[in-house]
Amino acid sequence: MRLHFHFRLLAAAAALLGASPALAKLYVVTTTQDPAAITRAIGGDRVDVKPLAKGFQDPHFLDAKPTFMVDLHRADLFEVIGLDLEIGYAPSLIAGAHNEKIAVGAPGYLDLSQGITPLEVVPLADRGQGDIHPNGNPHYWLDPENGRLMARAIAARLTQLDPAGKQAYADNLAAFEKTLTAKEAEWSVKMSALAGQSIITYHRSWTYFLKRYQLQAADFVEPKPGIPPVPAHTLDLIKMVQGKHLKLILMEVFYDKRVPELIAAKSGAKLVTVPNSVGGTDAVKTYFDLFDTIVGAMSSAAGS
Amino acid sequence: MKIPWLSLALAAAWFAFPSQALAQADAGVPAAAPADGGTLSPEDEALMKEIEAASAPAAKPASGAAPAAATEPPKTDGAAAPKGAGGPFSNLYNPAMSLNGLFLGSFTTQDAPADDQAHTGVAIQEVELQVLANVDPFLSANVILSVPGGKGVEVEEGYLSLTAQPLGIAFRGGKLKLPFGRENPQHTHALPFVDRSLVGQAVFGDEGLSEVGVEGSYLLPLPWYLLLTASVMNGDNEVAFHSPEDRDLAAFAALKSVVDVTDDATLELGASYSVGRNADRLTSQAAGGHLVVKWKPAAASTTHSAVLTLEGLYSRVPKAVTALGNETDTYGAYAYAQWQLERQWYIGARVEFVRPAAVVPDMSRRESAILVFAPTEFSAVRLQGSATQPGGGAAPFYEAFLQVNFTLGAHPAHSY
Repeated sequence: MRLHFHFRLLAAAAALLGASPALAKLYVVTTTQDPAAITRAIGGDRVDVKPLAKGFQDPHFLDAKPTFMVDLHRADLFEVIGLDLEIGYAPSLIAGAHNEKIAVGAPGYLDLSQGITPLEVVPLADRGQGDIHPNGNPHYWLDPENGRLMARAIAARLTQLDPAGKQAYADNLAAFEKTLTAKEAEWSVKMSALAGQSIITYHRSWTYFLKRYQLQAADFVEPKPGIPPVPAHTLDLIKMVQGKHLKLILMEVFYDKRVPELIAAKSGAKLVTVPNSVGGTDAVKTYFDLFDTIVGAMSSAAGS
Repeated sequence: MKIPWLSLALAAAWFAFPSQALAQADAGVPAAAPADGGTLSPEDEALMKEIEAASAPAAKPASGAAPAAATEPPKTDGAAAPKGAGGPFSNLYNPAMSLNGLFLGSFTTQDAPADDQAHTGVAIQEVELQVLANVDPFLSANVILSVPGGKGVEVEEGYLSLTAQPLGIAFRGGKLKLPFGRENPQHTHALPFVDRSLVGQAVFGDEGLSEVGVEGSYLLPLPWYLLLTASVMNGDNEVAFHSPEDRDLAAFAALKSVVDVTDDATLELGASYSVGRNADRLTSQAAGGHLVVKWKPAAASTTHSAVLTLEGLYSRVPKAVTALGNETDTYGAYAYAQWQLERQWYIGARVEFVRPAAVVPDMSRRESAILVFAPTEFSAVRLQGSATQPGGGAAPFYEAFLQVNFTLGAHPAHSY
């Protein structure tokens, strides 16, 4: 009994000291759910992943909660979407985490936007135009090809931080890309019925998705990015949707539905409310689930 | 006499830990020195010698040597190159800058308010300019200049932070708004009401506890957030310290803990203490505690939130000659609640009291209510009403404020 107690004490001490390196998993913290889902797919059982934002939460407006800093304090890797999506909280979180490993520029900091080609770069930023992102629209994970680039960047960084897992990460990346390629073919067929259409979106967050599937945003429920709907603009929208016979209004699950529902009711367009991140609804648990849900909802609305 | 002590401490910290900052700045290259500061293995020592030899000033390259490989140009998205690059003058290294402006319209029922009380009229409450950037791979700087009342420029804060965090301790030095409790470190434009609490003003004066000093903070490796902060400071605060002897430094320590009560709510508890010598060279002390409960549902994080804050402060500033009835202790507390009604609308209420150290001391009370319209996070209009019952049997008075608050530029996020 006494020996058993000592063994347990030793085991607890070993656990506190980090235990055997062979058993140590990389602890990865991500700002949003989508990099977390991809990291889980690539890292498998070699990583523990903690996303800070919920999938049904507006990722622009997280708070720099000190409890997030506790996670970042012990993180080996901090993945951000970048392009100023997290400008309101990531710098404070990094400063408060007291963890040099995840400082900007350190190997434990990964800005996933560095690997993609941003759209809507605004060389001259002006807040009079609303909550714009001068370095490009940050909602790039909504193009599945950007998901592929994110996966590659994540695999490369995990390999750098954990060279022993190189083969596992490569195998998982290959499997991820294979599934993605097959899924993309499926999504392209379903979305082809909407190709060329103009639609209304709530926020300017579907730019990459629309470009991938050859749709255009005719206008937005927000009069300017980040500015809540105002009556005059809403009236103009209703008239425009009626005049141009637009069929769809696309919005995220976390925005207030009242104005989009009004526009839909007055104009005859269909309102499609979908998650824009993994975890946005209970059914969306993986990156592939996300597009299955969005594409399924849009193609259903277009076909009905 | 005081400044050299602090400068020496900063310089010592800087020179003691540059290697860690360099290791971090050189992303992707593992640091050669062991993380625990221990001795190098024989293999690493041999490698270090090779590195040192390679790092020595280069001799003239031998003729015919291959040119260095061209650096791969950074990936671009086709956007225009930043203006100013490559010319004789460049804006590329300019720091992040922001400006906060506060315009205040005030009305008071007092016929002859004191200088530090609200006067009826319209005024510039404060203009604040913040400039921050990395100085080099070792240091970052944050300078906040304020123009209170639109007259005279003051250094509200101005400090250097070490990039490296030796032993996990973050250091900064310079003029700091010390994290004494909840309200003290907040800048005027970030206060939940248009004015500071009565007890905050009574214990540390209108400007709060803002001192030249050196601060270290350490996040304890625990499953919850527990931050220990300690600093040595000049002790210039005119209300709490202000010793005539230069070598009389003051000290400060604080503990702050935050836990998630639920996914949507946090509880913050904090305790602070400072000690130094006052104008009579007697030991002055101040202590405080605060509690903050914040609720912000993830599913409606932009439209609904609530904050409840309680803070109490106590100070003892003894005097060499004490008149009859002249107390040494000041204490008081405030509580406020804020509720977000809609995305752009907030309401709040505050109750507070203070019992200042003074001849014939008596309790003062104040109740305030506020309505806030914030079109974006960069502007707000705030309407506040207050009812004050001063101490000493004076007649109550009433105040109303209309404040316009705006931010230009790249202002960093406020602390949680």
